[in-house]
Amino acid sequence: MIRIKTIKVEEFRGIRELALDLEGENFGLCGPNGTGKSGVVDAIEFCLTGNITRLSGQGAGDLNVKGHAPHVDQRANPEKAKVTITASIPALGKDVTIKRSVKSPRAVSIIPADPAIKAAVEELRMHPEFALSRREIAKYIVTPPSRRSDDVQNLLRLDHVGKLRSSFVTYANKCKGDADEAKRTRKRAEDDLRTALGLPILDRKELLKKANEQRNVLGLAGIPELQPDTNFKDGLDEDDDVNDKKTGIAKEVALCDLKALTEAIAAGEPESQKQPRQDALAALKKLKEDEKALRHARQQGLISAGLELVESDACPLCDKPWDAEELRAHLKEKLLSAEEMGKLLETLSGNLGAISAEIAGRIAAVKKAADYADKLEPKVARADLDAVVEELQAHIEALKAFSDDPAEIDDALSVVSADWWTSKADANLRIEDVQKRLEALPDHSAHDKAISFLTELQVRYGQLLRGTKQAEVKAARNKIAQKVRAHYDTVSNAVLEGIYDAVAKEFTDFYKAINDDEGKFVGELKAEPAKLSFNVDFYGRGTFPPGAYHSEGHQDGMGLCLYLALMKHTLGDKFTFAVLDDVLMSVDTGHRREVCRLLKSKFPNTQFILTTHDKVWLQYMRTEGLINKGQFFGGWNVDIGPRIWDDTDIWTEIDAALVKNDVPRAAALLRRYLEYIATVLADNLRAKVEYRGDANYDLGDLWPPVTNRWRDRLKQGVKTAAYWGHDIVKDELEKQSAEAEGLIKKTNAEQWAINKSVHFNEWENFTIAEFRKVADAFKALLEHIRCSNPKCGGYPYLEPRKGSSEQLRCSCLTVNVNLKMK
Amino acid sequence: MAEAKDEALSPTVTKVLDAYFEVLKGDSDIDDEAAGRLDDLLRQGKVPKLADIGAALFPAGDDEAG
Repeated sequence: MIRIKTIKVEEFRGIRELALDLEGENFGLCGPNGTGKSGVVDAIEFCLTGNITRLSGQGAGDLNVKGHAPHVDQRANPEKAKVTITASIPALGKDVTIKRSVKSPRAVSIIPADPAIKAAVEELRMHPEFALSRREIAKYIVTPPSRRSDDVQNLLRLDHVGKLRSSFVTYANKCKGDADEAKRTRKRAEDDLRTALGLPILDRKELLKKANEQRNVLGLAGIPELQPDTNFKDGLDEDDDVNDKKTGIAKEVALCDLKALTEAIAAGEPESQKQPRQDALAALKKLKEDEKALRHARQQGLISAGLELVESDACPLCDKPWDAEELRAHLKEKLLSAEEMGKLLETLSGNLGAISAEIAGRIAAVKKAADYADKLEPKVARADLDAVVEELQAHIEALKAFSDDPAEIDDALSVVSADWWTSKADANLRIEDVQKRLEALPDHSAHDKAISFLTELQVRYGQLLRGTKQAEVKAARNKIAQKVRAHYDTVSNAVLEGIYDAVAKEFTDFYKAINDDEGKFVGELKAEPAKLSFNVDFYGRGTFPPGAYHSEGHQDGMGLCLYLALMKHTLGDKFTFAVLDDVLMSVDTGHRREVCRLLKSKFPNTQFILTTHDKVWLQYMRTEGLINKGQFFGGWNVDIGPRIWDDTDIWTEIDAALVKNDVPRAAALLRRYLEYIATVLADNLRAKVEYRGDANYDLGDLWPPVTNRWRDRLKQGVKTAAYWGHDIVKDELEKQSAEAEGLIKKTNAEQWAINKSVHFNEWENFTIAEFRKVADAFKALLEHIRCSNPKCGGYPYLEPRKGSSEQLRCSCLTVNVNLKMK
Repeated sequence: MAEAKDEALSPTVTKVLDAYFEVLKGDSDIDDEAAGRLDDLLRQGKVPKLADIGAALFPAGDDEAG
């Protein structure tokens, strides 16, 4: 991450031309609403990411960057709307200039074009969360747990962790499918061998016994042990004619095959498919009856694919602009609903696979019968048997079609409901025909029978060996794939839980730091499937969602603390830069100093750019030493954009107006500036101002109480110093007090109420000389009040904030007046 | 701890991959070389294709039955 040195904004949003010099340090932007502060935030975001959240985020409607980022008068000239940022990259020890124009938001100029610098800038683009607005705080606090889960996971860059999980799940499922299929193929090979041997159960000893019986008939030596490379025909001549001379059929084996088929037909529904079929039928019926569930099932694949496509701010097919963030959130919500459906479909897929395997077994058996029918002389018509094969094959296709697209539920339901294992009369007749014709084939001699048997045994033994080997390989791979998946789940869950725990602890510490009255406060982040619950303590009465009982101000504080904790864990040492756009407006004034201290003490290496429309809040940032520099936006109009004030160069601006003989402008500047300073000082010094419900105080309401209070506190300082016998301090304060009296008198502020000719309302009618006298008097008074240390320059404030004031101080303690006597 | 090869990997992902690699290496059923290949693949920062996962875990010809 970077630290911003300068920002130059041209023809962008409400800004015509603006240059800010941040010097890589914390920076405050202050001004009334509508003066252009957020335009600066937008400019930073745009320059670093090419995007502006408020023009493209949720609720932006028809707004878009290209159309609405240029100044309203430059809508037709987006190339004139540009932002340039110079920055340092602490991790690299290098500087960079980043420039982007609204004409080509995706094209960024990075100078120097060093790959490491480019990577650092790209990282910023990937982390648009460096800018946090008050509106966005809500997404961490008052938000449904499922949405929070997404937002927090996005911030922590956990989407990749989730995608890897999906990959491992898919791979494990594929391996399981392969292993199951290999197992079924092996089972069919085993059944074929068992059928050829006429054995109810395949047994190695029995197999060897049967093989050796036949070898004995041929006068061949018995095989002592069954091996993978056992050759049952060892010792036979290669050109021995093994089967029926005309048909090439091994009669005995063929009869065994036919017998197995007729027995299977007679047995009815295969035992091994009964439960899977029952379960599959129930699941399919449930899906069929619940249109919404079916829609989710159908959409799951589409939504997942769609999510992958939402990468830019326009449709990749038609280029029509869309709100990528909003669309992604919408799709994720849908996908969430489809997740349960995904589990149901996975189970269903297993059950349908078992049914398909049984059907495939029947197909193989009927095919064999059809092949025998074809080989007989004369042939038995195989059409009826082929029709059975075709019909059963269609069943398998229907089940596969449903797996590919749940919309094909009707055909799948028909298959699962049908008693496919019963055979049609025509087909049964053909099987009987084939059987009869096989029986009618001339019997082989014992010698030929033996050769035929051993030949078929060799073929089927080979098939079983290959099937077994394949099944073993697939099973081993499946075992590894399942482990790889399980390990990933376990590890990633543990890491995420650790992160959530650490974030919650950090959040709790931060929140306690800004709310010293909440010592027992605790925050909890709890990850549950597809949601992230966030509960916080409420005065020891239990933990609840933040929106349940806590005030808006507390929620704002929590949002900031959670954001900071998350950013710290996401970026670690790279969290060098953040823009906090008006994020703490609801936080009690009493807690704002603590916020300043939190940012300053816990994030000393992070550059914060803070905006506020509250002048007092800006002043707190200064007095607490959070910011050294700030920019006050004193007004705005559409032609010139924001009018910026630096509270030290206001006098230069006033001088410039006077040089132009423009007293009314100089008067307006002074009045507005003094209103700003008076607000700050009234708060700092806890001045006794006549209360107004609408808080609409003018200069006349604030300034006299401020000067009175300043005078009074200095006098109190003198008394206290005398009480403690600190003569030198007493003398200095007396001197300062006398100086204050003189300077206050020169401003004529105390005469405003009784002498209308000196009232600030009349300043615009003064001569240049008269007005300069007034301006000089206020300038001198303010210089007298503010800290003389140029590195501080803050206005003093009273501590504590409530009760008897004990100390008048500035943040650097150059001003440090004891007011407490005992 | 393995070094991340791709800048795009977030600290969280790197943390997960580091811990994952350790667990894979500690599983006697999983070949160390396969674990290494999978780790390399994951640290490329992309979501791997199924074929790539397969190739990492089971190199071509690795006891595949014909």
